[in-house]
Amino acid sequence: MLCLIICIENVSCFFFAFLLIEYGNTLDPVSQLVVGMERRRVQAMQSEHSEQSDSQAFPPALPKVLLMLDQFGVCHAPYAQARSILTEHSYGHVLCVVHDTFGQVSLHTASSLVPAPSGDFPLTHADFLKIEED
Amino acid sequence: MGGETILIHGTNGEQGYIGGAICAERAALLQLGHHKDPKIKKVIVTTDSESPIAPGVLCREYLLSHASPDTVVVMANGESTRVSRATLQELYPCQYIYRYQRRKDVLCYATDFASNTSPVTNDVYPGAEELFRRTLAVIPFDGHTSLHPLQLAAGVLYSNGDVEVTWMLKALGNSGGVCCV
Repeated sequence: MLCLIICIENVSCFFFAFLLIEYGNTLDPVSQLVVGMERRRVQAMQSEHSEQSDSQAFPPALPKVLLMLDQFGVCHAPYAQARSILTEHSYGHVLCVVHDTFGQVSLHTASSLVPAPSGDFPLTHADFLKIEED
Repeated sequence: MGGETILIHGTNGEQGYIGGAICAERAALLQLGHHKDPKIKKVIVTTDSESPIAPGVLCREYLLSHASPDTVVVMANGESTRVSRATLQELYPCQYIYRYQRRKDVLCYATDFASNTSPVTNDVYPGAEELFRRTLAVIPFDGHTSLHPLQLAAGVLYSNGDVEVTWMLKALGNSGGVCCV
């Protein structure tokens, strides 16, 4: 934690800066998997319009289920960034294998992990993508 | 804090590259560090737009590392004519299991937790066993355990039976921090 002191016209202001080494530049593995999903999706689109395609390298196929686990074999739900990427890029249907707090394994769709608040709430998180530019 | 209820404000900040933006919720939460043993009673999110806005997914996750899942989040529009409420649990199900564990304690906690987990079998989903096995096999590639001892890998099963796996790429950086200047 650093402290910065700024003196402006005889007024001293103290600020504290939090430098959190939470490896914020880390790439979580589920977000990385989305790259592969996108590659297959694009190649499927390209193969529909071209006789020449590289579809054999990454055969068009839909992602059905994913999991993220640690070295102990515990399956974790995707972190927030990955949940957003999956939901906002049409992979909300993908099932995620998750161990709950009691150690029981279950399946959840990616979209169910980013729920919209109930009630009078016209905008869900993913609906921001549908907003047209003025 | 100390029996006293105070209000902490935060506003969002954007930059040219949106990836570096800081949202209001986290801007407010960082100020908790000024206080000893703060307890979050309620979170209020307001906006100048016509409709309420819910905390983004990153902030929902971040809030849960500082507040209990039953903490109420009040979401209101600028005129406070449209108000919604939800708990953090409702906004962010399946929270990170180790979110309250300190780095020095996480391995011990995880070892104990893992001993009571149910296995991932093909009863969960056809092909899940193979997916689990192949994902676990690449765990060692998540190096840099000096940054954090937990290693993570992920795998996806495609409709044609293909499996792709990858692992966490840890990096040291202070992009997770906020300088208030």
